[in-house]
Amino acid sequence: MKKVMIVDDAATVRMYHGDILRQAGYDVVEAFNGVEALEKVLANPVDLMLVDVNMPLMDGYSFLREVRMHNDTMHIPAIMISTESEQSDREKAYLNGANDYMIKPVRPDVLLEKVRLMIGG
Amino acid sequence: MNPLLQQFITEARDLLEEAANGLLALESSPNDVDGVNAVFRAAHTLKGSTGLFDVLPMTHVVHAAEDILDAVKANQVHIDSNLIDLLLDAFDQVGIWVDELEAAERLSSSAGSIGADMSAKLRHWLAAARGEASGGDANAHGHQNVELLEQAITQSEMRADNQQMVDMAPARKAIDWLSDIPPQVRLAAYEQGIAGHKVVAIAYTPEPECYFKGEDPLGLMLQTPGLLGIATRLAHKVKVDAELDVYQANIQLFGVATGELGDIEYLYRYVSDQVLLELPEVEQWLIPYGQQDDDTILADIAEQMDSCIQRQDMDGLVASISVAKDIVRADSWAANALSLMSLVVNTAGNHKLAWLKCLKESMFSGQKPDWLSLQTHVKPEVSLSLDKTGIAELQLLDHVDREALSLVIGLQTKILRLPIAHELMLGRIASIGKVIENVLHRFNHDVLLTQWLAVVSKAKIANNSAGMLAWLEQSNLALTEPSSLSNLPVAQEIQLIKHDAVLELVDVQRQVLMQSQPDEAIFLGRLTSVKTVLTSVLTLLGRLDLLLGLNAAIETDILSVSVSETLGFIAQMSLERREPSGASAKSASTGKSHTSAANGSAIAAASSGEANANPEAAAATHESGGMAKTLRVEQASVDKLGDLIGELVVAKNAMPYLAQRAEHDFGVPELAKLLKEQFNVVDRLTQELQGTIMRVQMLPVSQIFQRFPRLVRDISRKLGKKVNLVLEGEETRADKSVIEVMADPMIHMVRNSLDHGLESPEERLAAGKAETGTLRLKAFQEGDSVIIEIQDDGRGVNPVMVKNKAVEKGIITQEQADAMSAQEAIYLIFQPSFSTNDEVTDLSGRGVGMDVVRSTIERIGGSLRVHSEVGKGTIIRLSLPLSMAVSHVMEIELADQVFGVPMDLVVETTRLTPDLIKTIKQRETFIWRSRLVPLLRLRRAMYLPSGSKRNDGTESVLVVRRDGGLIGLVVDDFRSKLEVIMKPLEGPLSGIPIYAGSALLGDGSVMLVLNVGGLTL
Repeated sequence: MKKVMIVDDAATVRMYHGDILRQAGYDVVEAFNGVEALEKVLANPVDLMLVDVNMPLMDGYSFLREVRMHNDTMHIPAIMISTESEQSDREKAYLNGANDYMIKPVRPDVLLEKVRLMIGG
Repeated sequence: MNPLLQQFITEARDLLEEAANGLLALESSPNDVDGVNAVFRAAHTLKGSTGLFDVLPMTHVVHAAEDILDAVKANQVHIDSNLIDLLLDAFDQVGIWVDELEAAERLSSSAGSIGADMSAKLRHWLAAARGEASGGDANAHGHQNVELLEQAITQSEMRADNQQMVDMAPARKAIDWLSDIPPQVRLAAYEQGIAGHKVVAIAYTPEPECYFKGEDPLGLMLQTPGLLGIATRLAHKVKVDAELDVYQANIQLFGVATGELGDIEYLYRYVSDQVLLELPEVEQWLIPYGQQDDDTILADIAEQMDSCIQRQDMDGLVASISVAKDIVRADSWAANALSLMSLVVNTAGNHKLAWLKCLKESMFSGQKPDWLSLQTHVKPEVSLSLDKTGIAELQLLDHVDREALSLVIGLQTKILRLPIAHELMLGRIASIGKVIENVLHRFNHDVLLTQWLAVVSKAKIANNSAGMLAWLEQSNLALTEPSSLSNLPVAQEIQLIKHDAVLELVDVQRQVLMQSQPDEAIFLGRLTSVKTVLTSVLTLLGRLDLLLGLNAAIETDILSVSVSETLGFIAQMSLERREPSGASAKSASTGKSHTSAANGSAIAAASSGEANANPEAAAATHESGGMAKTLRVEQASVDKLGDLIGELVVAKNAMPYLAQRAEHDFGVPELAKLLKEQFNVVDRLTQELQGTIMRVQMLPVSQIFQRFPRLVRDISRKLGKKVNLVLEGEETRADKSVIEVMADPMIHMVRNSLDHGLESPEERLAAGKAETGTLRLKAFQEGDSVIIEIQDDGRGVNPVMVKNKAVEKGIITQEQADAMSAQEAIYLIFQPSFSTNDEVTDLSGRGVGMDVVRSTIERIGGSLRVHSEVGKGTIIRLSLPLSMAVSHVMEIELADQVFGVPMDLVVETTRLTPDLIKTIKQRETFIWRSRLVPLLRLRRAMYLPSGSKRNDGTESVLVVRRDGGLIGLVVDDFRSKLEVIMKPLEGPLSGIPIYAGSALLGDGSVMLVLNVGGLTL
C-alpha cells in the first residue's frame, strides 16, 4: 500500500485529507509540524507528502528544503497545500521543493487525481 | 455527527481560546512578536479549516481578522485596546457559531448578515488604520478591492463546487415517478424551472412502522420549504380484507418544491433513507396525461409538425397544433401533449426544438416523452476541463444554438490567444469569463456553466488563462465536429479525459525545474523528486519504454548540475503525449506552455528574493515537546464509565445482604463466609476503580479561572474601575461535574464583587486606599473539600444597610432585623430577590444572582461562608466536595422511612430532654455548647405524620451547619454512615428543594438525601 504523509498543524485538515486518502486505499501518516514530519519521514520514508505552509516550529518551506537535502527523502514527491492563492505562493512552493501546489480547501476528486498521477495506487 | 465536523468543533474551540488568551496577553505587552505570531497562526489555521465546511460567514470573519493580524505582524498597524476589543468580539462571534454548529450542524440563518457586518467592521478598521499609518488611503483602497475580488472568487468557486456536487449524479436520469405527481403541480414545476429556479422532486416512502415511531410523514412533507404541491399513492396494492393492517403506513408521498436542496435535505435528515431527492431537468416535468386514442388522423399532422420543427417555423407549428387540437378529444393524451407543446413554444421558444420533437413523438406514440434520449449516458467527469457531460450537452444543441455558441467561443478564444501584459491578464480573464458565462446561461446549460465558472475561478487565481483556452478549444471542437469525439473507443476516451491532468502535472514539473536556483543545496532533491513523479506518470500511461530515457536524462543532469536534459525530455514527452489524442487539445496545450513559461520567468526573479526573506524565524512559541501523554476521550464515554462504576458499587453492596440471607434464610454459613471474603476483594477493586475514574474526571480549577482575566477586564473597563486580578491555586483539582456546575456561580460572584464590592478609583483614593483594587481568586484543597475564596478589598457589606433593605423589601420584619447579628445580616444577601444596589445595572444587581449561587452550591453538597468588614473588603469562601460521585451520608429515620443527610454538614448527634428545649420568639431552640441553636422538627417540615419513636420523651437531634450557622434537626433515630452514589432527581422531582438527590442502597431500595439548605424553618 502506498503511504502518504500529511503535514498540517490543523487536526481538521489532517482528518479531511486523511479520510480522502484512506478511503481511496492509501496508508496515511500524519504530522503536525515540520519538525515532527521530518523526524517521521527520516525514520520511515513515505511515497508522497501533502505539506501545509504555515506551521509552528518549522514551516512547510523549511521542511521541504530539509527533505530535499537528505539522501533518503529527496525523491519523495510533495504537494504543497495552502490557503494562499497568489501565483507567487505557488512559485515559492516550487522554489522550495514542491512538485505541485493546491489551494485549500481541496476538492477530493482533484486531490485524488493528483495523488494517483504522482504515485499511482 | 460527522466526525470531521466534530473534530473541527474541538479544534476551533482550542484555537479560539488560544487566540483570545493571546490577545489578552498582547494588551499588556503589545510588542511581543511571538504573541502576535501565535494569535495570527491560530486565526490562519482556523481559516484553513473553515473552508472545509459550509460556513462562509465564519470564513469571512476569520479571514478579516487574520488580515488585521497580518498587518500587525508587518508593523503596518498597531495594537490598542480598541483593536483587541474588536478582535475579541470577532472571535466571540465565531465561538457562537461553533456552538451553533455543534447544536444544529449548521449556522443559523442570521449568520450571513452578522458575518457580513462583522467582517465589514474589521475591514473598515484595517482600512482606516492603514490610512492613518500610511498617510493616505489609496493603498488601503486597492487592497480592499483585491479582497473583494478574492471573496467573489471564493464564493463563485464554492457555488461552482456545490453545483458540481449536485450534478455529480448523472445529469438527466430517469425519474419514473415524476408522472405520479399531479399534472398541475408538474406544470407549476416546469414554470419555476423555465424561470431559472431549481425545482426539487421529492419521493418519500415512509416505513410501515413509522407511526409507532411518532413520525408524521404528511406533516413532514407539508413543512418542505417552497412546496409547490404534493401527491400520494399506495405503496403496495392492498386488498381490503382481514390482512390489511391499518396501523401500518402503506403510502408513498411525492412533493415538488423550490426550496434549497440543502434545506430540504436537512428537513428530511431523520428519514433520509426513505427519501429520494431529485433535481429533474426542466423538460422532464413535461409529461402528457389522459386517455390514449389511436387516432390515425394525427399521422399527417405529425409530419407537418416535423417539418415545422426542422425549419424552426414556430408560427407554422402553432397553427398545426391548433388544427390538431380540434381533431383530438379534449381529455386525451394527445390533447395534453399538444398543450405542452404550446407551452414550450411560448416559454422556451425555438431554443428548445429538441423538446418539441420529443413531445411530438410522445403525442404520437402515447408513450411518456423519452427525455433521456436527449442525452447520451455518460458518467460525468469531475476534472475542471470540459468533461464528457459537457461535450454531450454541447452536441445536443440545435444547429442554430450551436452556431451562435461557436461564434462567441471562437472570438473569445482568439482574444485569449493574443499576447498580453501580465498586469492586464486578470481583467481579460474576468471579462471573457463573463461573456461565456452569459451565453451559457442564456442557453440554460447548467452543467457547462458550472464547469466554466470553476475554470474561470481557477484561471483568476492562477492569473493564467491556459485552462480557459483549453476548455474553449475543446468546446469549439465539440461544437464543430461532433462526431470526432463520440466515435472514439471507450479506452481512448478515458485517456483523453486524463490527458489534461497528465499534461498539467508534467508541465508543473517543468516549471519546478525552471525555477531559478537560489541555492544548490536542494538541487539534487528537486531533481530526484521530479524523477519520481515522471516515473509514476510514465508507468501510469504504460510508457515503460520511456523510463530509460528519463533515467539517462536525470543522471546526466545530476552530473552536470543542470536541468537542461530533463527539460528536453519533458518537452519531448509533452509532444508525444499530444499525438494519440489527435486534434483535440493540441493548440490548447501549446498555448498553456507559452503562458506559463512567460509567467514562470517573470515571477521567478521576484520570488527568489522573497524566499530568502522567509527565514526559519517563524519558530513557534507553544506546543513544546515535554507534555505529559494525554488522550482526548469523548465526554460521554467517561460519564458512562462513571455511571457503570456507580452501578457496580451498588451491586457490590448487595453482597453482604446476600451473605446474610445465605446464613439466616438458607442456613449455609459456609457460603456466607465465602461471600463475605469475596466481597472484600470486590470492594477493594471497586474502590480502586472509583478512585481512578474520579481522578480521570478531575479537572484543574483553572478551567473556571481562565475565563476571569477576560471577564474582569471587560467588566472593569465598562465600569471604569481599576482592578488587579490575582489567581492562586489554579492547579487545584476537583471533579468535572463540580467544576462545570461552579462556573456560572463563580461568574456571578466575581461580577458582584466588581460591581458592588470594589469602589471606583476616585472613591478608593478618597478612602485612603490604593487606586487599583485587588480581586483575589484562590483555590486549595482541604480534606475532602475544595475551597474557593473570592476576596476583594472593596467597601465590604454593610450589615445595617442590608438589614434596612431587607426590611424594606419585606424579607424580614423589623423585629427580626433587630434580633439579627451583623454576621447573620450579611447572609441576607443570599435571600431571593435581594439587591442592595438601588440601580439595576446590566452586570449584576437584578436580585437574582446570589440566591441562585447559594442554592447551586448547596445542591452539589457544598457550603458557603461570607466574611465582610465595612471599608476593608469581603471574602466569600466556598467549600465544595472534591467529587460529586461518591457522597458520605448519614442515615436517619423518620416515620419508618430512611433518609440521608450529607455527612459533611453533620456537626454532632445528640439527645435532648424536653426541659432543654426553650421557646424563644415562637421558635423552639436549645443551647448547644453555649450557643443558641434553633430546632427544626423534620417530620413537620416534611409534612410527615407527627409522632415520636422514642417513649422516654427525649428527642434525637442532628446538629448540622446551615448558612454559616447551626441548626438542630429533630429526627426519629440515627443510623450508620454510608457511602452512596448520589444522583440528582430528574424531571418534575428536580424542583423539590428539600431533596439533594437519591441513592440506591445495597438491598435495592432507594434512599432520598435531604438538602438541608432547602428546608423551610
